[in-house]
Amino acid sequence: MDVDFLLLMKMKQGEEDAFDKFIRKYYEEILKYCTYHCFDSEYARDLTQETFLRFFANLSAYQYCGKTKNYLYTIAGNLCKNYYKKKKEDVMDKEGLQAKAGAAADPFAGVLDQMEMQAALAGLSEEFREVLILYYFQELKLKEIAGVLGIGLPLVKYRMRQAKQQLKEFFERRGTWTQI
Amino acid sequence: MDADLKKRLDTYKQQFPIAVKEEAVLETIRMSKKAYCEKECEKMLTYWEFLWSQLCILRKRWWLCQLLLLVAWGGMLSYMEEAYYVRRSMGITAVLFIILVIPELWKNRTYCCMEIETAAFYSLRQIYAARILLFGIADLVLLSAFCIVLYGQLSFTFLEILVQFLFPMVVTACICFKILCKPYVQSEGTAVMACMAWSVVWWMIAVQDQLYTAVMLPVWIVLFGVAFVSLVSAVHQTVHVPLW
Repeated sequence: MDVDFLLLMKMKQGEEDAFDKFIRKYYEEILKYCTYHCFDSEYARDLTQETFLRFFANLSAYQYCGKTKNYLYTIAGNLCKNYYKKKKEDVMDKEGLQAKAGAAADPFAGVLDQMEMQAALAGLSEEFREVLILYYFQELKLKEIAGVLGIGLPLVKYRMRQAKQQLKEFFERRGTWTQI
Repeated sequence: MDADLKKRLDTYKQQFPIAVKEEAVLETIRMSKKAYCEKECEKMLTYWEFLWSQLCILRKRWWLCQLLLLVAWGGMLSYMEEAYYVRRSMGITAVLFIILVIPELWKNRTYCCMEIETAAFYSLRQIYAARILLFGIADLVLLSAFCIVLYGQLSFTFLEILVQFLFPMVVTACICFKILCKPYVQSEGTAVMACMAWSVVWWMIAVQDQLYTAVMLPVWIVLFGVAFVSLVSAVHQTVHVPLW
């Protein structure tokens, strides 16, 4: 029998150890996902915690169908979307990030590369960024991404191509593409 | 392009390490348990949801048996011409109709699940009330459908049905519920035997035309009233007085 199914059954019966095992099993993966979405470790921790809180608040109504991880990703994804909306309202914040990313010839090149990548990711449209993060950072297979997002495999491939293209264009505009 | 981009993304991953803080994990575990418990405390079944859950739990085979019994009896009635036979068959059918309820109401005692149900959120009396209500509704629907289907085909008056069918049925139900309340009676067989004994008594009354016709209609109505009040009292006892 599936480990998640057993854990969910035990949690529904109020077994405390099962909560422990379940959260430890998925915590790191969700934390990574949130971190690569919002680029802020502290905020990502809060989003991760909120993801689990929302999951457990609806646990009794949750019917297991072998996709618990997908469900967690969906909750985390929605929280991240809310985060982006909030971020977009704060235009200065994004502009500031891009302005910082513009100064590429700085002695702190590593930090700036990091900021440039964050700016590039932030500049992607929501669905392209989602596919890219799940593929490169979460290391999910394309088929798994299709399951998480509830879309077809061809659409995942299309979004991946578009995401790469947009990233390339971003770096080309900055003149940093040829550096690699 | 892919290799360049991959290299860039890998570099970014290395530059941006993600560390899991143990205290954050512990806090998430604690908060998650709290969120789950709080949500569970808020969640209350409405009476209809509770009734529905009981309906799902009840075995429907006994309702099917009751339906088959009525269908069989309805089929036989069309071949019975003499009132003598009709009267006897009505009394027996009434007793059998109620006996078919016994297994479901005794289920708790048979399978020794009293401890589980008394530990449940709803009290045992509420569970029994719901089950009795569901059986009552189902039986009412079955009998009403039966009467509607046979209406016009059989020359019965309501009073005849009251005396020949409903009276023995109510007395049988009364016996069942009284026995269900007895703490020293463990087996449902006792209830079945008591119902069968009543069936024999009723049979003897029904076959004696002299006795049957000697009893005036108002007396039958009074007897039915007494039986009905006793049944209500027995059901009340089942639902309100702590059992066993």
